[in-house]
Amino acid sequence: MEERLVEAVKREVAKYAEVTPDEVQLDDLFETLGVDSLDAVGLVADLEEEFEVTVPDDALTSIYTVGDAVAVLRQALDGAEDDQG
Amino acid sequence: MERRVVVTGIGVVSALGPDASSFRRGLQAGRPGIAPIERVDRSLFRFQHGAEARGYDPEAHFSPKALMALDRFAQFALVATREALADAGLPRTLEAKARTAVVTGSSMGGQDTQDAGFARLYRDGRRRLDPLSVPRTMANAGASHISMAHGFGGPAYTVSSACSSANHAIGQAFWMVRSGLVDAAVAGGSEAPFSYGSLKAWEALRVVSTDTCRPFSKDRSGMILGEGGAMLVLESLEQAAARGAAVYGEIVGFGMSADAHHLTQPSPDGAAAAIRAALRDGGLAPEAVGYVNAHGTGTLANDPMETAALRTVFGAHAGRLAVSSTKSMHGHALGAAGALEAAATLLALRHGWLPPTANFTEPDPDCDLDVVPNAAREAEVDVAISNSFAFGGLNAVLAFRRWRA
Repeated sequence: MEERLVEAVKREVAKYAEVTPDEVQLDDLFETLGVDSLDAVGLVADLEEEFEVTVPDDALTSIYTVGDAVAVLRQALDGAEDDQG
Repeated sequence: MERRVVVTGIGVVSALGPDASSFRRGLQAGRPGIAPIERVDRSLFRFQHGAEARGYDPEAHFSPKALMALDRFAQFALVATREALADAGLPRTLEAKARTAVVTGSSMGGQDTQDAGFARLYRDGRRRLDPLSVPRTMANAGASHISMAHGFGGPAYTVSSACSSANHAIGQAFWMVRSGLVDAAVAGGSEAPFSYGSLKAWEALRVVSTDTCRPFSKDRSGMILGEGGAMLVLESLEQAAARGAAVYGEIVGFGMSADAHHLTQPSPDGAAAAIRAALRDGGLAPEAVGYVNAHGTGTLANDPMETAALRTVFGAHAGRLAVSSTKSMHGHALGAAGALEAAATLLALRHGWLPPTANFTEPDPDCDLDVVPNAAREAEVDVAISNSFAFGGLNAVLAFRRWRA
């Protein structure tokens, strides 16, 4: 799952940064990549859809890097599993 | 002191082609851009024809990322603006950009986005929408994107008055330049009504023709919807002359009125009041007018009403006016209509021919005007007006004068 998660985040970030997914590193800042707050809302929405999870509004403001986006999504996934279980 | 206002740039996306020169050639040839609708499944409709911008290719103008943020109607606004600005060659200093206004017209806003979003919710049972749904749908998206793309920091907003939206937009931009509030403006309108829900709404109103748009003809059977956008670059004559800009024509008057009467039934009194107001605003005698670009929707109600209004204002001179409806070619593009028709009128004045009323078959005694049937006519006209009359009874008329260099 972790690998799929990282791959999906990189793919989404690449779309908004207008680069290829290979060019995206986990410690890249969204700001450096030219991904603004509106882009971040869009890419998180796409990922919510793909992984069938809900990312809370306040989690969005803690995303500065690609790795942060992976962490926020992972947390949402863990929460979803807890709910089920 | 009031300044004179000239048009130095024109950009158009329409059913007649993806740019202003194809628009001009289509009008001059009297060639309607009306064809079987392709953007929705037309087998689900009573009417089959529309004036879609078939020659327009979004990917030729925008990156995939840019397109994520742009409804089709905002794309039309941006593409027309880009062409108009390249044509005008406006000064690009920060100071000049801070004194440039942007006023756009849109009747229905981002219908494609709204339609697709609602289908997803109601039809597909999904729970989420694209986070850009709101900024894509907002009717002011055109004005906002134009101002951001080109750095225009002056007054910027959108007028929504159904089929009069673009005339209201151009008229207010004209007044802002004339008064000295700004030195230049980008003004016009754009619309993209070819989505399933929006077309169904028009179908329900029973005003769309099941074959084609025949304004002023006895056998007219309604309007044909159109899409596209047109933008004009307005400048003070002082600025245009100082930089030696080529001028299409002068905007000399703007008049508005409300029928205060009925939601869909137009009133000749309201229309006449707006025409009179435009003439008065431009200091024009009725006899000075040679050409009228009519609202001319081709509906049973509009065309005799508009004829009556013109007869009321112009009296015996109405018989000497050339009156044509270019909606017979580019369709009724709603919030973009006035902008397409302002462009048509300016091109006609500049090039010395009048666009025809296409698809004309048979005179109607209730529309007994010279409607320039079917073929463009060579004519040197000095003053022209362009009428827009909206559902809800909101009227806006612009007056133009031929430019003599």
